[in-house]
Amino acid sequence: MAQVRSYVTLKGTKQGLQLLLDDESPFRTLLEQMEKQLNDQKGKLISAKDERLQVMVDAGRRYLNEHDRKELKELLETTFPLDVTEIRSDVVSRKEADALVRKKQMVRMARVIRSGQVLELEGDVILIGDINPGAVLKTTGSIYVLGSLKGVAHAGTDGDVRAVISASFMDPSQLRIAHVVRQPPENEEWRGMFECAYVNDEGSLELERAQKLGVLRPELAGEE
Amino acid sequence: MGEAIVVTSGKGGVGKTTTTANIGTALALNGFSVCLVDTDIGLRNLDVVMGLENRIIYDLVDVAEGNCRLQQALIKDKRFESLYLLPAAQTKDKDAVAPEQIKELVAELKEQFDYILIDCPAGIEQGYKNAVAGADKAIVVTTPEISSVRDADRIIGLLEKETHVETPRLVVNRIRSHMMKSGESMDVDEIVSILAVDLLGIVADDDHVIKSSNSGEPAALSPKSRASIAYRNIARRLNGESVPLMSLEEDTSMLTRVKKFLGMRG
Repeated sequence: MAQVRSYVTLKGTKQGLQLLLDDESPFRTLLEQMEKQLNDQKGKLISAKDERLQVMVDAGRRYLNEHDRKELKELLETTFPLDVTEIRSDVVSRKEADALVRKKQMVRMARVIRSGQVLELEGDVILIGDINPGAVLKTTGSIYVLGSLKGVAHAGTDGDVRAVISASFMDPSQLRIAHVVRQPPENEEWRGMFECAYVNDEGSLELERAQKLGVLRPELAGEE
Repeated sequence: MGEAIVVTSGKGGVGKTTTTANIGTALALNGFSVCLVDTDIGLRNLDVVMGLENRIIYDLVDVAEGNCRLQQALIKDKRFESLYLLPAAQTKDKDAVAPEQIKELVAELKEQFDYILIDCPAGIEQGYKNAVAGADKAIVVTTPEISSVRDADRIIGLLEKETHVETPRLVVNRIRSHMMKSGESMDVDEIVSILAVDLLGIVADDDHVIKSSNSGEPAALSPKSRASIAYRNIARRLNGESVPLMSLEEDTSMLTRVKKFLGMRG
């Protein structure tokens, strides 16, 4: 008798239970066979405390779109006493990969962003020039201005509070990082050379000397 | 083949029309053939400032619509053989012509004249688009006020997108030197540092300019006024000469100097 193909492998790890799925069969077959094989091993899927088990699903080299992921998760959670914490796959689509690259990229621009101009970008931005009063620069990453920041800068537009805004001359009309907004205080000078803005642990936006940036955000410090 | 220069500002009332009239006059004074084009359709002023209002028979819209030939609409200046005005229509509105039509018209003028100065209406809508359509160069006029500088910045941003127009140059108009010195108004360096474009000239706030535009005699004609010298300097710089910026000191007539010596403000 030929060996039965294993569509699903249970694996206990430090992080918890893992389900390794076969990545060669068609998706439909996988779902059917997975259900069958898991039914046979139902005994292993019950936790000592009679709670639902947390599992991480590893789809191997199979591409799963949104719909596939939903279906897989639903099947596992309704048929078995499982909670799917994550579905991992080694494969991403070209579109997802491109989006990922754009978010990680460093955009270099040598220009003056003028009143009325609104630039929306992805990734970190190095601007060699000024952000003039009335101009807006938005990006998903951090903003570094080699020049004057007099307009509005919005870093981490996708909600990244680790993003920072740094400028040679900081005299902004408004700063935003993720959802945190701060205007310069009334009747008070809020301008300076080589400053950076970041969101502190209390969740408010603060200004600091640019030299402190490596301490505040060690991930930006770079390697020795 | 001449060059077409648009005079623009974004904000109204900063002195586009006065600047156009005076630079045009100063260029004519230097012996160039110049045509002033008023594109402020519906709110024409350039003809009044030049004192040519009574001579208008046809206007820019008539030319664009083919009611007359270009030559019929051109008005010769009272003072200079080589200075002409193409007036705007007063009764129509800005949509009466399209940028393409202005472009053709300006191309035709460029064959006849050394300089075509295009007076742009305030704003950034249709009128602005018309005025910029045929231009090769641009002069942005601002006053030392934040609102005016902000609008100039906006206009420069829009001009940078027009690939057929060279990087604009700046005229800072209506400078009150005592306010600038005391820090009550923005100073020229600050304006230039924000706008990040080359400075073409500075013009002091001068009663003579108001007086002369009311009487239809451009200030540039009078060799005595400070504004007149400023406009003449701008005209020379447009022509490629390098002329140092005028000092912003108040006039140094004997009386003022004595007053200053005695500690009185002139």
